[in-house]
Amino acid sequence: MVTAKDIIEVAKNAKLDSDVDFDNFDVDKKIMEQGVDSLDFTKLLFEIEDTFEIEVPDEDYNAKTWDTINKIVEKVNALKVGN
Amino acid sequence: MIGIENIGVYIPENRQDSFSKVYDGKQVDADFVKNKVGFISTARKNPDEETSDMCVKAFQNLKTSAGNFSEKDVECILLCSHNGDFQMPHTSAILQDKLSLNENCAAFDVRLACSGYVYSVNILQSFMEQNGFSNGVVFTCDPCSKILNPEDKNADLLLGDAATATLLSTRGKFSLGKTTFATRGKGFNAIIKRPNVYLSIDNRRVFNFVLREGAAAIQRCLEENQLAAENVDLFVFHQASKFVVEELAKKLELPLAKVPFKAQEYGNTISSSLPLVLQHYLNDTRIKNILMCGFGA
Repeated sequence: MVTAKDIIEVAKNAKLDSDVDFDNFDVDKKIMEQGVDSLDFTKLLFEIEDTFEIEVPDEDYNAKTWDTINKIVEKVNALKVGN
Repeated sequence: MIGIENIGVYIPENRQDSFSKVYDGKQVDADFVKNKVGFISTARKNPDEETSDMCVKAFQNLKTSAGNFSEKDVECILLCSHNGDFQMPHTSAILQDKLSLNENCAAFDVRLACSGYVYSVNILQSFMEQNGFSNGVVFTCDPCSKILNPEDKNADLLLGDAATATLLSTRGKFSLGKTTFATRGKGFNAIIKRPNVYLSIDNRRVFNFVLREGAAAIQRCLEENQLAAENVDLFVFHQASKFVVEELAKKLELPLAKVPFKAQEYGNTISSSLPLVLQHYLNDTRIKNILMCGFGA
């Protein structure tokens, strides 16, 4: 099972340009409302795909359904079960 | 051997200031524009300026920089564009007339976008060698201001208008090595222009494609040319945005000093993007090996 802590770890390792304190990140608040800009958000999703060996299906992706750490956890786990 | 001898360019003087743009009622973030998107302004052609008119200006610039070269020397031309003067006929034929080129001059269009320059130089070089030609010109001009929605941040903040004219000749300064190609038609709708609808760009999917497939193609290109990255003096990547160019460089562990981003003042000019960078280095005798990579549609 992928956890919020795992996603936060990916975000830290992704070396995003945005100046964000991931140690104090709210996992239920929108990621892009906590200092991550849209391009870094794209990069974060790319790193998540690579790390967990999943592919976000185009038909499933919507910025609003992937916008918090906890929503991403839910989506990633569902995709991993699907794999 | 046929190679790239010189490059002429035309960038419209009219610029759209990125910092003053408002999308969905929000002013764009200046730091985001400057440090991530990278385009402080984007070039916009005059509304009555056609693709062929822009190519004529690029050709005039080529004549100035190439010196001993004129219209009568041109044996073939190729125009790379998705946004020609008309859907039919091919714009290169109109260009033949506007430039008063020889009536025996071969003229044809290639419909490719950001990957177009690499393909076009390959195609015209082979065409010239097959037919024993000494002078040909690759034109690029894809004025997306014709098809973008000015309210769409994904396109409006990125795309700029420009034209280039690359002289291929037997006096080339750079000749082509082995080129590697990659196509993923499954993702066709990541960048798409449907009839009667504005251009649509899915930046997330484009970014994923560039970092996965683009990086792999570059590695293959190095291997097939038996070169290590250290032996390449310059990596000219399609100037999609500062973010994309720098992330691709990071993915390949290349020093940014070898990966120029020069489109700050005019934007992502589609197939003109590579020659607009390349022109700065043609006379730099320190540069022996250049790897160019175009990616996108």
